[in-house]
Amino acid sequence: MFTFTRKNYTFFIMLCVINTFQLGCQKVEKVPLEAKTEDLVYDEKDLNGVVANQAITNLYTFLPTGFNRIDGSYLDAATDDGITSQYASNIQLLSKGLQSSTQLVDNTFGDSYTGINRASLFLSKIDVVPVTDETKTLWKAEARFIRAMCYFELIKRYGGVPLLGDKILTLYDDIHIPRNSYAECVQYIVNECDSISDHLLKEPVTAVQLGRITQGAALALKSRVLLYAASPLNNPSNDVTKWETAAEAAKAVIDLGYYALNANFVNVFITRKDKEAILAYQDVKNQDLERANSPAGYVSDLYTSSGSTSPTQDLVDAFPTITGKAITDPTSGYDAMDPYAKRDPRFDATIFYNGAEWLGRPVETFEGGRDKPNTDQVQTKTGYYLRKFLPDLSTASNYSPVDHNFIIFRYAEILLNYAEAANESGDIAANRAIAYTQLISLRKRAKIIAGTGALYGLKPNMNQVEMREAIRLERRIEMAFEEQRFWDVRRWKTAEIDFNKTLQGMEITQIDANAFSYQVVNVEPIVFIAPKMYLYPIPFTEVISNNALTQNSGW
Amino acid sequence: MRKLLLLCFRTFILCSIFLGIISENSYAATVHDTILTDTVRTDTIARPLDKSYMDYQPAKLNILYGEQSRSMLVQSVGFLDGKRLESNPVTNLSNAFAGQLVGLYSNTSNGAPRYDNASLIIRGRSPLIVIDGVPRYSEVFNELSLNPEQIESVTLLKDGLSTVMLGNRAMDGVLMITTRKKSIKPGSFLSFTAQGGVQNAMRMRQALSSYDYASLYNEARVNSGLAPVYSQSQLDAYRDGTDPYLYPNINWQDAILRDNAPQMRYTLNAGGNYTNLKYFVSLDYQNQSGLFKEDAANPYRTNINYSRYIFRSNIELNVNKNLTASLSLLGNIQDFIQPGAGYTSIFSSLLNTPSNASAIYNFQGSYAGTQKYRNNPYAETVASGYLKNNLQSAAVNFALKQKTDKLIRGSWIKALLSYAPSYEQAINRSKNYNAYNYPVTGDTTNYLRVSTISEQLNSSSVQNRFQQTYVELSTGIERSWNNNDFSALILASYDNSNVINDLNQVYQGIAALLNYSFNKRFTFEVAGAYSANNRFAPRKQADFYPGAGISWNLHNEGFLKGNKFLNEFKLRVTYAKVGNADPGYYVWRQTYLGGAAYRFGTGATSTASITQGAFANPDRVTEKAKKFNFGLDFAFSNKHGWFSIDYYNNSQYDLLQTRGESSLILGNEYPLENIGKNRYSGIEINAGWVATKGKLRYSISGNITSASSRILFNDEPAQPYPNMARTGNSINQIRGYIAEGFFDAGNISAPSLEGYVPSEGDVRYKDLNGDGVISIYDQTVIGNGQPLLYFGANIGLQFAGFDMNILFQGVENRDILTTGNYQFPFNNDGKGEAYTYNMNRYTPATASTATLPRVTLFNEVNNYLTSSLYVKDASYIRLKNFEIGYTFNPNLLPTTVIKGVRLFVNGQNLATFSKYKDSDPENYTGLYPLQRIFNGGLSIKL
Repeated sequence: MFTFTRKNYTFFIMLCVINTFQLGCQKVEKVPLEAKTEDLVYDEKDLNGVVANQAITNLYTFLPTGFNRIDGSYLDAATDDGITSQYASNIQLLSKGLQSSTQLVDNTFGDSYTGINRASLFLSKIDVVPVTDETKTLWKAEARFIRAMCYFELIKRYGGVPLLGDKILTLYDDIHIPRNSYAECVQYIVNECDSISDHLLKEPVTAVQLGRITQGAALALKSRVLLYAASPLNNPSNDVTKWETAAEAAKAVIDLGYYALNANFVNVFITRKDKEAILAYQDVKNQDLERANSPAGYVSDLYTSSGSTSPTQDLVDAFPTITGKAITDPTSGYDAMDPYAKRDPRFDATIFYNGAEWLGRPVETFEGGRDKPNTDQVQTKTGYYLRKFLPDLSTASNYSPVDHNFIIFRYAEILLNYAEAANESGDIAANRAIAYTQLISLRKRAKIIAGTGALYGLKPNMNQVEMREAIRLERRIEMAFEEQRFWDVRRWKTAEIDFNKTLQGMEITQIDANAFSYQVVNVEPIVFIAPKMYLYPIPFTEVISNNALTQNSGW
Repeated sequence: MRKLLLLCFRTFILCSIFLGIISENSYAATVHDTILTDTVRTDTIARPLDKSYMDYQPAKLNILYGEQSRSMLVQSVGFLDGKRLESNPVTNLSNAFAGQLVGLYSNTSNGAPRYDNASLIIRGRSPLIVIDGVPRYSEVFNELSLNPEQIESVTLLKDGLSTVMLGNRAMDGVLMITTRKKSIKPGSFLSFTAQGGVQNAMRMRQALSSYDYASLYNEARVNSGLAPVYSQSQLDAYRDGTDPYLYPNINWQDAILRDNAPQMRYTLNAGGNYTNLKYFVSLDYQNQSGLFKEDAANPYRTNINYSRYIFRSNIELNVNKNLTASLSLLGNIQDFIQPGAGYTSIFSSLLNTPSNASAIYNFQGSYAGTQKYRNNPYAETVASGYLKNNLQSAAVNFALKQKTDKLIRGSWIKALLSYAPSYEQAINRSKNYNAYNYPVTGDTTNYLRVSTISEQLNSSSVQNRFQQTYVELSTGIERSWNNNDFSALILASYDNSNVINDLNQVYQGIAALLNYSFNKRFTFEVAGAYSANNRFAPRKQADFYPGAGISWNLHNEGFLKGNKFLNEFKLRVTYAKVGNADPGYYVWRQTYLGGAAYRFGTGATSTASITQGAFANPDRVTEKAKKFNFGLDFAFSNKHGWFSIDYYNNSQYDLLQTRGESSLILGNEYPLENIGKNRYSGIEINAGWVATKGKLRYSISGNITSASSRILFNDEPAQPYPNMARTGNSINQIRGYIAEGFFDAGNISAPSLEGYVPSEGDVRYKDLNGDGVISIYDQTVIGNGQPLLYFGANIGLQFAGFDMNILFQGVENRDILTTGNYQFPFNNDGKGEAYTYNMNRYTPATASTATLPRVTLFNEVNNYLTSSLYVKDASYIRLKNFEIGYTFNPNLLPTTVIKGVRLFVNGQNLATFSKYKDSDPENYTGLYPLQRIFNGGLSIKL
């Protein structure tokens, strides 16, 4: 028998409690709706493709960038061109041969595949978005470019890697995927470049479109990929047809007829919209490089300078004089007692040397000078700092924000690609004539004196081997610190010599206010363990869990 | 000598555990009537002397959602009387448990006021905190920030059966706090306690003097192939102090820290116990200062100051003979002030500012700094303004319990509603300071500003906000007939909580328990829960968790009944499946997230980007464990002594981890999946002896726990060498290389890191796979491979009005990995601090005695690898707590209004014995130090 009637109030209260929380349960957000799902990103109703545009924008963040990107150092600080001024930077693991499959530096394996995954995902979903066919075609071409670029970043480091094509791997797919050959990867990238180049934007682009991938970028990528593929590292039998294809690819960029060298070498790196820049990683104006690279003594209440890179004497000596002739050439006008005078103007634009003007005072890298005080503060190890990429602030009083886009492809590289591929295409004068033309145009822009026969200091009638050396030298000084030499020396297969020596610096002693004595000194060794270092190790965790993926030999 | 001491203490602790067994004959004669009474906590202000076994296992115990008589207990639970917490002058309750509760491991790694809570581990996991029957969370502040005097008892629910009714929150075990509800004796009382103490920092590492630092720095530069930077005359200047501005020698620790910091607490308690009304009301204020120095010129405090007000009111009213209403209110208000730079970054500055970095002040009085050392720790301490946090928290519990005997005899129904909001606001009144570098002492024109003053900020932000609504409806029955005792409970609960702007998290479930006891001999218990969490995918939210157990009171069997020696002998076995809901934040949905922006156009216009987030795992479910527990309890010699032992084996499965066979080629992050399997097992022993001899009453008790763990499965890919496998080893294993001493002229060609050319004095590692180079293949378990052993020992004495209590606590087999700034000299690009122990580095002269490799300036690729060289044995024994008190004879007090007066002094962390000498074994990373506390006070009872 129920006899609770007397206690009704108890149940009334309990009912109230239950009701209260039931009321609270009604009409609440069951899942966080601010987190977009796929159908809101690739939305059938998004007429302007606003959200899809954000998805393609995300792919752009996978473009390679440079400058002080490896623990505060340039990749080129692992070449014979420079060393890091820092006491400790991971770049030293690369330059001292200490990289291993568990101690990875510049490891882009995961990042590149993330870019590839996102590009493929974009390509597979974008069709539902009701933007114009024109936009869709353009976006798809851009996504495919970035995917191809990611593959190139992989193969230049690791050799052949698994090609996924349009397949998007899911959690339920088998990840035991073997590598494709290097040649297959090259073919894939080239095919992609070929099929997208007509769909990409064509120069000149509008002010709003600046920074987007253009036809020139696709052709430039193709040129670089084919050049790498034809190089000794990847073409051991020296198949000349590969060089010929590479030369054609470079010429295709030139034949676009749009690109040109900037008249002023310094401005190449600080001009956002420039006919020389084919593709650049777009950044806002900043003064990061001024602060990171300027000589360490330029410090005030307003600014600091870290002087994080020390170019080597080896690079300094590679620059010719204003005559275009090597400093070892008695007719070059080089004066060992005044070693920085009358040099290739690119030298002044690339190197901070003792006496160079900066922020209203000369750089002091003599022993005990303001920029080399020999205290324990981070300072140059070689007597030089890196000036390249900075505007001319000789007489300025402070740093100010400047365009510092990292240039991925620029026209000068294409000219050098063309010269190199042509010269290797066959030991004939016509090929060397092509090479001469390219080198001369670069030297002319650099404002080297034209000299006899307007050869800008180049030796007349060079044979193929001499021309090869001349092109390699030109590439070194023109493209210094642009993440070229690190790969160039590897693909030339000369790293065990070039990257296996004691790097040098200059010890400068001040005799009186304007007189210095110079002594070349050994600074530190760079180590290259051949042949294993010609390719990076694949991350250990990757090889362990994907047993179909073979590790590069030696690692 | 220290080793001998250590040995003595360890022997003593082990002895104390087994003392009960051997002392049977000698003390059997001292039976006292009161000892056999099942006494419980009283309101006398005398401190807790453990008068009997019953103080450890009282006749009735609080278990989850109710009480149970000890004879019918099947579950494995630990019990601690609230009184035994009171001698600990700590502000966070978690620091009072160490060594007192068998099975509970505690570790305090930060000593800062407010943030010094210990992390608590029970059977390998951090327990859920349940206060007065409601699960509480540390979202805004540590839920154990409570006053010990408001605590009636602490119950540790250790096995699966004891927690299974919490279902998907049961896997971690439960630490259950019950607050005081009434005066024990009929009538009422009012008591007041005032106490104050001083704290001082324990075992801080000693920085090198400027001379030693600079000399060692020179040595490091030479070892790194660089020229020394300090000339002999500069070194002499550091040593002689001839120019304290240009060649300073600052002990920064002394410069910014005081020797002592005060703390105080006032507590006013009142309680009543009448037929229809029971109440306990308490008001508590405590204030704790930090160790930082202050500048009298500041019109405000910059030192850490932590004040806390706790108001608690528990009222229970019998509305009529069948209906009980209870209302509990809690207010917890906290204010916390710290220097504007933040106490953590000041301690981090200490690790990065050597003695010769700069002076505190320049010669003309401004703060000093250099280009290399822009942070002046003293200026950060006193001239960076202050930060203030205000926290308000409340909890209201309202419960009604109706006896429904008229429907079914012994039955009842109950409703409980709890609402607990908390809110913390952060007020930022920080600023920066000017610091200058004068390269020439006395030359006022030549200077560089290295730190720039900024306006004092005045901003506030919501640091955190949390709100919890808990509703529970239950019904139960308790019946006894003939030789049968029966109880049952069915309970539905709904726990809805919300942190700032997250969607609410809801735990809900139905739970039930049946307990049946036959003839006081056998007890059977089954319990289970069906519980859910709303953040899993639909249809993955709920699961069923059953448990069962049996106990056998052998002392009630004929063959043991009336045994003079053995008073109690009980055997317990339980088994349960429990869960741990760790749903993440709706990770079962595949969503897209904002990514890094990119820029287009001549104006570099920033364009937002969006990308697919990490792969969703729609199949994510609750982690689970199958827990087995076997226990034996003995009481003997007229319950003077007791001994109890528990063995547990917890098999965890469905543990969340990422796949072992995973590939970056996938191009997206792997989600956590229910993959892992671990096992925790161990033994917990608890023993003691209490007796009275004439006027002397004494107790001695001890506990020891052995806890081992093993990774059974973690989807590890096939490793090339067996030493590389994690599977099969302990969960907290430290992995790395085995250091075999240092390279010297004799073994310079021994295997070394691939590509690395070793120098004399570099660490030499063992080539485990014998391939001639040191690589990942040579890594193995280098620490925490042994079961953790932890223990506590307690001695209580009472003689006339005096009482005394001593608590030791310790850990064995505890390894730590020392690394980073506090271990490696000149870390942080050559700028870091170096400590006295860094002088034990390798030099050709000290090759045979060196404990550390040669000093270098770089982040050494070889010498700073994780290796056994940096794995330290951080086992320790502490004199954790000591108290002496004197209670005046009430008859001798001048007035009858005052019913009791007690004076006491106590201390915390009074002595520590450890092989690890560099710093404190619990707090060794250079954070705010742990405190040694000396405290004293007075209690008055009306």
